[in-house]
Amino acid sequence: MSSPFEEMAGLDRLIHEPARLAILTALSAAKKADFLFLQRVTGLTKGNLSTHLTKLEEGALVEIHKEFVGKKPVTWVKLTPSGQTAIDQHWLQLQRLRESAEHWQPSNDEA
Amino acid sequence: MQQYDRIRFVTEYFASLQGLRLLPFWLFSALVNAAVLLQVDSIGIIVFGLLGVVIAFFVVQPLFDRYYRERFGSVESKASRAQVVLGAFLVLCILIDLFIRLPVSMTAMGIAVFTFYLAWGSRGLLPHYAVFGAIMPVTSMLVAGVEADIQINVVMLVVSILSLISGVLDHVALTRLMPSVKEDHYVESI
Repeated sequence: MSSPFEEMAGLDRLIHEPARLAILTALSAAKKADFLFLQRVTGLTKGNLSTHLTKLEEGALVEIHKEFVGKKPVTWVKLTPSGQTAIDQHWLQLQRLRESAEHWQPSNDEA
Repeated sequence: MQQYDRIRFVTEYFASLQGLRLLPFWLFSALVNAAVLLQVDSIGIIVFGLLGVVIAFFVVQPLFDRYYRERFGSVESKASRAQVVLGAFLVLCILIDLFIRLPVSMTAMGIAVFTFYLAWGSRGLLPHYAVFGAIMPVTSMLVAGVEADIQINVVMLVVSILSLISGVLDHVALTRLMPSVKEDHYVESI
């Protein structure tokens, strides 16, 4: 049986990276959010946010579309159905890991 | 984990945290209810109230909407089941006050439940709603037994004043929870 720490190493890095986890967590609490909101709520710079969103879009976790409000372009981001499932599962997995880590005792082999 | 809880909370309650949007409405509501209680000329109050609501909704609120959209961005919220249930409960309380005469104001009690829920849901980020929630049952008991019209005016005056204060505190909380980001001179490539 693997220890919680071995399981932790096996977490999906596309989701578990702190900035991307912040983006996905925000998106999981709304139908969709725009680029400026995500930037303000996560504290990421435009460049960092843009890079992480591109990775999440490539992983089919988010959908991005642009529209114009007057003359201003607005970039909307929302979770895909698989992105929603992935982030929900990820938080459940983290919760389970936290609980098992709290009760974890090193075995004789490991000690 | 706390950081992610904060992000989830701000996203979920983003519209509620835009506290300045309803300030003009609550200001006029406070003035009109105070004027009614002080028995100022009633036609004047109606005209003043209507003008106030028109200015609040069609002039001031769009300006605040634009300010929040351009400064903090936009979110399309998910419908919160708890808020729908609490909203329905509040409407029921108002209907009880209108059609069944009870010694205490049910509207005040309903608002107390709603504001306690907000305080609890914010996980300590909006503690002023707990104070708001505690004041409402006291108000409800203080107006127990007085005339129905006066009871409604007193409750609405208290709600308006507390909403004015909460609006400002919500806005302060939003600016604290969503600090501006230092730019990196990067051109958005998406």
